[in-house]
Amino acid sequence: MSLINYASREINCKLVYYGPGLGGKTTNLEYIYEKVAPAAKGKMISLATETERTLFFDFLPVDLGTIRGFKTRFHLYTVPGQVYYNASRKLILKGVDGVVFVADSQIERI
Amino acid sequence: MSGAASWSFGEDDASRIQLVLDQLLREADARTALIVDRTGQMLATRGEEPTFDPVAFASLTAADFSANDQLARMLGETEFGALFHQGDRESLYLADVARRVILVVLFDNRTTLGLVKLRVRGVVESLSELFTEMFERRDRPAPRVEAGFVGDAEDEIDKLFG
Repeated sequence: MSLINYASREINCKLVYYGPGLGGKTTNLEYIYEKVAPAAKGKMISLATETERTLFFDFLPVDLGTIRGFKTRFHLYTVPGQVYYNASRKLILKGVDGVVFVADSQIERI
Repeated sequence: MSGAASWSFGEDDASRIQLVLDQLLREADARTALIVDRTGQMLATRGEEPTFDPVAFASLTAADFSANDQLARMLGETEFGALFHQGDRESLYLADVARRVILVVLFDNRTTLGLVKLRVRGVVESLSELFTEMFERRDRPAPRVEAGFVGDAEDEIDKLFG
């Protein structure tokens, strides 16, 4: 559910990285964070356990700049992969515009 | 999960929201009032300019409220209509608006929680009417962004990774 704010001339889109645990969702986001120029990205937030497994979500805003008069921004989220985090996974998917499915393609992980 | 349809609000909507928030800030003697939608996007900010990252703040606010909704359901409640986070100097009062957006009031020791709660209660009603009307409008054809927007957006995405 992208939001078009005509008052502040902004468009925000929500993309969620989804898939089984230990598949690389957070790693994908970390890679994007490294590759994107500092001016185009916001603070990356990770709500993770002490063992760095995603507990609630990772969040990274990426700014595309102004396109046709609208400041355009992607909000990238990951969901926790483990089955028992079902409740928080559903919350993150609220209002999503696109889903990136991430899974480990190693034969023993499929 | 809510549907994938976009929704929008224009300058008239923004002005009406601003009037309501300005009145709240005056009457509650609070520092900043923010409106965040349930998907984690910042819609409006009034009062003192926040010193924090508003994009990250909006995302965490929506997550906070959603997590507490689930806790409420575990207790057999439909929802927690409001949340309060107390700090040494600064506190946050968050209130649900029509199950669509969250009103966040940032305040310090100049005022009291009781006064903030009292003023927020009145404002939530006005904001609920406003947002209900805005979301009902979602089913009508909205003004569109200029033709060529998608192509330009794709070019910008390519540039992101050099």
